[in-house]
Amino acid sequence: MPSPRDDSVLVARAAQGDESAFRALVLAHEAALARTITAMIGVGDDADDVGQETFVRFFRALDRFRGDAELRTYLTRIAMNLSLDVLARRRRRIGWLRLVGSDADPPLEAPDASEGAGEEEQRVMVRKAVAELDPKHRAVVVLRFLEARSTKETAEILGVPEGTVMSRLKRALGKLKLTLDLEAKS
Amino acid sequence: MTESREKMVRDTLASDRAEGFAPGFADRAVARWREDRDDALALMMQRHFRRLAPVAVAASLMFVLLSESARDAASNQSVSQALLGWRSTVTSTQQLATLESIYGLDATSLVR
Repeated sequence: MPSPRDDSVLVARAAQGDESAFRALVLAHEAALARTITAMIGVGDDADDVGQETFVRFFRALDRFRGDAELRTYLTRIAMNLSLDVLARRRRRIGWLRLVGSDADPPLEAPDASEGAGEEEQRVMVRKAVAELDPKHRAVVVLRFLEARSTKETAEILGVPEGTVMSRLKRALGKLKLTLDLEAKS
Repeated sequence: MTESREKMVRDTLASDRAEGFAPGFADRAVARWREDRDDALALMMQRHFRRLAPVAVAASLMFVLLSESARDAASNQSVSQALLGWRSTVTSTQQLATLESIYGLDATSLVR
C-alpha cells in the first residue's frame, strides 16, 4: 500500500496532467477498490465501470480533497457512493420487471439453488440473505465486517454519523439472522 | 447472530469478491480520464463563451445605437461608418423602377 506521502506527490503530479502519475495511483489502489466494489455489486462490467469512474470523479473534484483524509478512504467513499447508485438502479430495474410480470431478467445476485449441499448450500443461503439486504445496510456489512474498518472510518466513508453506522449494522445483522433462520427451516 | 454464522457471512463475502479488475484496467481508467479532461476543457470554454457572449452582443448593440445617434449631419455618416471608412450610400431612390429601366430598354429611343 502506498504511503500518504507517495499519494500526495502522485496526486499533485496527476493534477498537472501527468498520465504516468495517474496510472501509478490507479495501480496502487486498484486492488483495494476492486475488493470493496465487487463485494458491493459483484464481479463484472458494472464493477469495472465503477472502478474507472471512481478515479475520474476523484480528479474531477480534486479541489474538494483536503488531503487530511487518507486517499484510500476518500476513493472508497466515492466507490461506495457509485456502488450504491448501481444497486439502486438494479433494484429499480427489478421492480419494473416484476411490475410488468417479466421474469426474463432475474436479479443479478440470485443464487443458484442447485449448487450443492452442505457448506456450499450455506454459502448460497448467505449470498441470498446478503442480496436481500438494503444497499445501505450492505455497505456497512462490507466495510465493518469484511474490510474490518472502524465505526469512525465507516461513518466517514458513508458520510453518516457513527451512531447511524452502529444502528445500520445492528439492523443488517438482525435481517441476516432472520433470513438465514428462515432459509435453514425451509 | 452466532460467531460461526458471522464467520460464514464474512467468508462467503470474501470468497465472492475479486482481488482486482479485469486485465487492462489501468489502461481503460487512463483513457477515460483523458477523455474526461478533454470534455472538461471543452465544457470550460463553452461556459466562458456563454458567459461572455451576451456581454459582447450587448456591447455591440450599444455601440451601433450610440454610433447611429451621433450621426454627423453634414456627411450623413455615423461614427462607426467614419471609423470603418465607409461612405454613405443612397439607400432609397425617388424614382420608381420600371421593367424598362431594369432591363435597360428605353422606349423613347426605340421610337426614334
